[in-house]
Amino acid sequence: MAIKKTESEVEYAIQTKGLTKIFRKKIKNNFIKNLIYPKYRNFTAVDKLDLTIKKKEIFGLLGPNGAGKTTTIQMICGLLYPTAGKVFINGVDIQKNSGIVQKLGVMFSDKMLYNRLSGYHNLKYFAKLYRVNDYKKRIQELAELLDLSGWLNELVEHYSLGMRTKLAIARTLIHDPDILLLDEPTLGLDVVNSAFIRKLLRDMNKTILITTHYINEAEILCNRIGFLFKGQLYKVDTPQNLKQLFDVNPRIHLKTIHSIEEFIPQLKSYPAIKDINVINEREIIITTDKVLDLTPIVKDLSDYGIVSLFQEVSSLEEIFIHLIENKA
Amino acid sequence: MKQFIHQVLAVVEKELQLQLRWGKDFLLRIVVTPLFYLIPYFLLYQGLFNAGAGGLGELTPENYPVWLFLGTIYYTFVFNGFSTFENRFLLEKYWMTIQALFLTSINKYAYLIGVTIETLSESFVIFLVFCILSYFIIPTLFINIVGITIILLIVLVASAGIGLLRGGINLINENFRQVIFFALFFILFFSCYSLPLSILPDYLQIFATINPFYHGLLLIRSIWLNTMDSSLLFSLFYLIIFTVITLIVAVWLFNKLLKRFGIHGY
Repeated sequence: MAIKKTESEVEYAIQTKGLTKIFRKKIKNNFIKNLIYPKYRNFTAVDKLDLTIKKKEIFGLLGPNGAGKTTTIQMICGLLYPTAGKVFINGVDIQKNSGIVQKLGVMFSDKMLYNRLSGYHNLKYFAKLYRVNDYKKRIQELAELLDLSGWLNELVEHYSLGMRTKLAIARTLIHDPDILLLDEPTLGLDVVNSAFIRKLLRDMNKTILITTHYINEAEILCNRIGFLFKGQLYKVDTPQNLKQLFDVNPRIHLKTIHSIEEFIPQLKSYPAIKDINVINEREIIITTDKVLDLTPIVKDLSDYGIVSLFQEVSSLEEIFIHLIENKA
Repeated sequence: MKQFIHQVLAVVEKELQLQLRWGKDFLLRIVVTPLFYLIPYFLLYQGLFNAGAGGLGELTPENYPVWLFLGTIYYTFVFNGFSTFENRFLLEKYWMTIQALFLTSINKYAYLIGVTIETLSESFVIFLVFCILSYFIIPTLFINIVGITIILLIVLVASAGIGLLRGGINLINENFRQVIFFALFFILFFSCYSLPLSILPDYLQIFATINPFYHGLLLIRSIWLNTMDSSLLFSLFYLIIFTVITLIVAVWLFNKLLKRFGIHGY
């Protein structure tokens, strides 16, 4: 007999199995035709998504606009009913136990705040709905954490975008959820505020699913990254592995004391070397098919006096663009 | 239970604060709007009775102001109940706050009761003003006013239940807004808040008498105007059963619809 694991024993905080969302879109026709016999086509926003996010992991879901990132989050938190597939939060199927969504703190890019209320009343309202016992203390803690103390009694309509984002994060954290789903949390923020929020998220020690199209942000923040394109999850790995695996144009920069012109023919015989660009007699750039182990080259070049030798790995952004172009 | 009450109070507090953000508009709206429905009928009946009409169904030259005041109170309660969720949901849909609300897994009964209490505050001014005016024209016992208040609360809950469903449908698809509006307008119109039942054609009288909202108003007017008889017990049971069923079905269907179709159009 299979023993059912408790929430704390389950390895994955978030798990989706075959998660699919198909929207019915109206085909544009003239107004009368649309009114009498509207025609529809199916649009697959998310296509058989299998995703696993471990506890305390920060997972970045990357993708261009319209890739299905927000739809995925909406299905994970139960706001959108999937066409097919299942979502498990701490091993619990959210369709069978919708109460489990209380374990989630969700923030969409539109912040979900009442502009006509003060920051304090926004937080108080949600604290009470989430049944937070000592809500005054909790609001105070979050205000200090997010540097909001001086602004809490102001109406949100007077807040800057950075302040709104901080307040939205405070609202997301008000019930101290185990899992955070953050949809583009730093969208439109300046570098100072973006860095502040990234640090905050890193230090929080919670499971976080973050969607972004700021590649650098995902690279800095996330333990693992998944590329989502046209509703399909293309590749999931750590930022470092993805760089290694998908490095589109690794380049080796080599500078020596002595001329290396006579060594170039020998270099060409190395496996995986695609091209050699001679800058001058003591400096070359080698383009390779993949990331190379540089030890043999270092050994062979010992007589030439190496000034510098480094392998330039593509940024995650380059990989992202490369992947999208290939998929498209 | 304590948590349930906390949720109800949180909803009431938040809704009131949102309304009072533009407080003057709020006060004008809740006081002036019902007068638009009262004044034309008041002038019509005044003209008829001044021209020598002896009576119009249950209306007489003596009781028509109170009859209309009670109709206006009733109209305000039912109309607010029908509209309250639509107005809130559409605003929250465009403000994008509706998602945050649903994510809290708030008890839907707590939400319904919270919004209903806030709606009550919107209807209270009219209730107070017209009760005082009615009392000066045809005085009634305090216990009668208590009874009328209870019936109004029952009616408000029933109409808010229907309003919840209306609001839920609008979250999913706004194409049906006008259809629902007309349907509810007819239900409200055939509660006979402005016209006596007896002047309606026979086939419309049947329609009116199966309308639970007609029975609510019948009870209120009969209590104040002291025209009660044993048939009103049926009206009371009919109204209570309708309210209970409406409440349960509305919350169940609201959850079901939202879960199945999600929020669209924001």
